[in-house]
Amino acid sequence: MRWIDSRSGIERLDRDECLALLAAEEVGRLAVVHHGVPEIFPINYRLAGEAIVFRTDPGTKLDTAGRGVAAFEIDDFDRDRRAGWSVVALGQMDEVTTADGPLLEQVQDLGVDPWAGGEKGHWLRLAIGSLSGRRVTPDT
Amino acid sequence: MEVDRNGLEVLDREECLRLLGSATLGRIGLTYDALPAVLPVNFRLVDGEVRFRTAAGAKLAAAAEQAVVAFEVDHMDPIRHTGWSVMVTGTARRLDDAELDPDDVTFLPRWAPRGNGAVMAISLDLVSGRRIMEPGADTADPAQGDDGGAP
Repeated sequence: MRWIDSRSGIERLDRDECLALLAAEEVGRLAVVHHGVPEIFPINYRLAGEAIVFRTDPGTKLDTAGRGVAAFEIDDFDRDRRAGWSVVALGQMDEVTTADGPLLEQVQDLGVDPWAGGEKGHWLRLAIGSLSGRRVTPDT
Repeated sequence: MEVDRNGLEVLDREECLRLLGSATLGRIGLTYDALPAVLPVNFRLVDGEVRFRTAAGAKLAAAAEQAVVAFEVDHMDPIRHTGWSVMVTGTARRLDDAELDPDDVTFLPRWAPRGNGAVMAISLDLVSGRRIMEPGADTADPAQGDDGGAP
């Protein structure tokens, strides 16, 4: 069933559709609040069940893990057709370590391959809590 | 050329502003009800600030007003695994009608079919950018040219 917001004309995507879009993409943007200031980072990721998994080096993203909630966004917009969609996930972000047992091996086997260099030996997992998606189509 | 610890090219402010001026889709990051939030917005670089409409409604305007926000623009090439991103940290404010050139408002991109919220601006207090270079691009001899992706 299509759910169109009457005020904006934007279609809302259901959770399954949001997850399907997350499974199909490979680059998204992580938003965290670090020392009270929001920051956004583009990352290469993989969807594992209902979690966003990515690799990082020591820094802001790793500092933020385990200390609260992070947001994650993917989108695709076609400038010419003025059509597109976006998906935003919100959830607890934690580092996966050897203490997590088989989970570490599972995330390491996902094949997350960052385009940027660096060792990126830390694995972060954002467990998706709330998930929302929007789609704009011409002439809706 | 400055390169960071991940081998990414560090873009100077001038290049960041050029890239910001070339894009129309960005993402705003802010704190909403004490939680991080991120959402895409269409924007334009006008008078040295990022301007966008709050087509999503008044919630964004209220949360962003006079708050420190993040603003990100990127371009990724999934085939070559290259791309760039620019991040802005600044204070968001709501523009009042007197500050708006009617022509500018007309040209602020708006994709959502309906809804016409406030116009917001983000100051460019901190601007940083990175570019992912193709492997070997930093050491290649320009005289050799592009090998066209030969194996």
